[in-house]
Amino acid sequence: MKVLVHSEKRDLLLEGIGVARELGGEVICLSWEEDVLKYCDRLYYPKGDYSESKAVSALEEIAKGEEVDLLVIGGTKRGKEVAARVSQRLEVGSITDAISVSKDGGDRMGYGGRVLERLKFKRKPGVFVIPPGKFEKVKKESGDGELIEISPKSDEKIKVIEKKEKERGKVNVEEADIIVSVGRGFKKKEDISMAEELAKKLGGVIGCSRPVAADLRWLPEEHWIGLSGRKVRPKLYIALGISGQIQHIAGIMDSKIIVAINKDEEAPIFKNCDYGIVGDIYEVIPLMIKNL
Amino acid sequence: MKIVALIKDAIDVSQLKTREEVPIIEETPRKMSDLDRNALEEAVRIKEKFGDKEVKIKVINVTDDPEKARQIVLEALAMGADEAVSIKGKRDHLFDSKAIADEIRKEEFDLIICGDSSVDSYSSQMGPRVAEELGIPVVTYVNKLEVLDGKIKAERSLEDYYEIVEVEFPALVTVTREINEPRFPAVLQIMRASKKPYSVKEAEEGEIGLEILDLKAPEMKRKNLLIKKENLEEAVKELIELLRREGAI
Repeated sequence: MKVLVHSEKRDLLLEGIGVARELGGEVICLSWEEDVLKYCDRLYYPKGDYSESKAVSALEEIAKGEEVDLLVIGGTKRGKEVAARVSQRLEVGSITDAISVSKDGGDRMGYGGRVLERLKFKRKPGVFVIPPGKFEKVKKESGDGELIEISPKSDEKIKVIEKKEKERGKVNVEEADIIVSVGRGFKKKEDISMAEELAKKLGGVIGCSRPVAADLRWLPEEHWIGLSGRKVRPKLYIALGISGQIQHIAGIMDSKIIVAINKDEEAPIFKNCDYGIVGDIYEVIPLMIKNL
Repeated sequence: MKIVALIKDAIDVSQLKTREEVPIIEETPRKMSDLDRNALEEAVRIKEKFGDKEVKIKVINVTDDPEKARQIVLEALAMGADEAVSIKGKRDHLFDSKAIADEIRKEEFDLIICGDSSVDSYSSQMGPRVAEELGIPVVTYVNKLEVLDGKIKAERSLEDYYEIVEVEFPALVTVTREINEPRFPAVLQIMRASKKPYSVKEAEEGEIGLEILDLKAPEMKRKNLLIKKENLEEAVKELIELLRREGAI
């Protein structure tokens, strides 16, 4: 069996190689980073800069030339685009955000994270898009891989004018054990300092729901938890003034314990929590800080 | 300028019906997929900017059940589209994207626009697949869009940065929820929209990429314990005690 792995992000590529090694067989990579050669059997190493279109052309060519059985692609936004495009060129099905994989197909959570879909590939090669942080990175170096330099076709119609870095802190909510998460129940940006104080006391980090990051922009997007943001799996998740829309729940469902504080007893978050207190966050948070 | 907006009649996941952990998709209500609504809104704003005569909007909906999609397509027409087609597809990315591309190819077009994902499936596949099928460039995750002379300027919202790009027509754009606040037409407007051209078609035969073996809606195993006490401080103390006992803090 041959598995073709690609991601433009190094960590995710190593996770993809980990998945491919578990599946067994030969591991072939497309990467712009030469030193990942030590983890795979064959590395296709493109000249020039990365672009989605180059990755698509290269993957198509390698998949056809090598007659690979499966593709494993890292599910960043760029990666999802690349996976969908190459799947269409190869006229095959693709499983986005696969949570388990086999040579015949895999599982994913669909319908807002509420439904486990068991899917089977009808055509070869099958394509998996894996979510960041879900699978173990490859650890073992194989050593004697073959490096193949390529020049992928680039019929670049899209002109990149500018890249602006997003505001960034140093938070990685995906790896946190305790997350204190803020929602629309906070009336102004400064009030988040209450939650920060609580997080500090608990040794946790700050997360937030979509409106706080995307609409109000009170926190950088790396704090955003949910289907369009990050998916988290902490030991303790404390939702403060978060109503609990299905897209948010989908991002926190792997948490061990979920605590919800909300003044609206009807808020959907209470149906998805372990412990809840119906009350005003402006009263409850100071009481939590005081009693910890 | 001709714009094609792709509209999915998504399963309204917040109303998902289940029976013994099996989701009953057929009995669950549908709605216009949120991000497709943003996409259509953007198309309508382009039309409002350049004028009714300059810009025409065609809505293409691919669905397993045109009857259930009908109200949603009418709503799209009420938002400001000029004509609509529902194609009976198979809820399969490979099959449905080809059906959409076949319909788009029938006429000249400049811009195709849709959501970056659908709210029920969240696979982020349809836009890029349709673009590949048509052999045109795709700009994904767009949160700002500007139509210039014969081309577009778009800002993509990626994980770590914004990328500003330009591309000439024809092109396909997938949008994020942040691009605009979409309008919700009134019932009367939706009724009036039924006078606009709207046809229903069968897709041509084709292959599917994935087979669904089964669907399961596992119950969320949460304790759902609401802590109610005389006063809030007692409740907070109880919460902290429970979390300590579980070793969470």
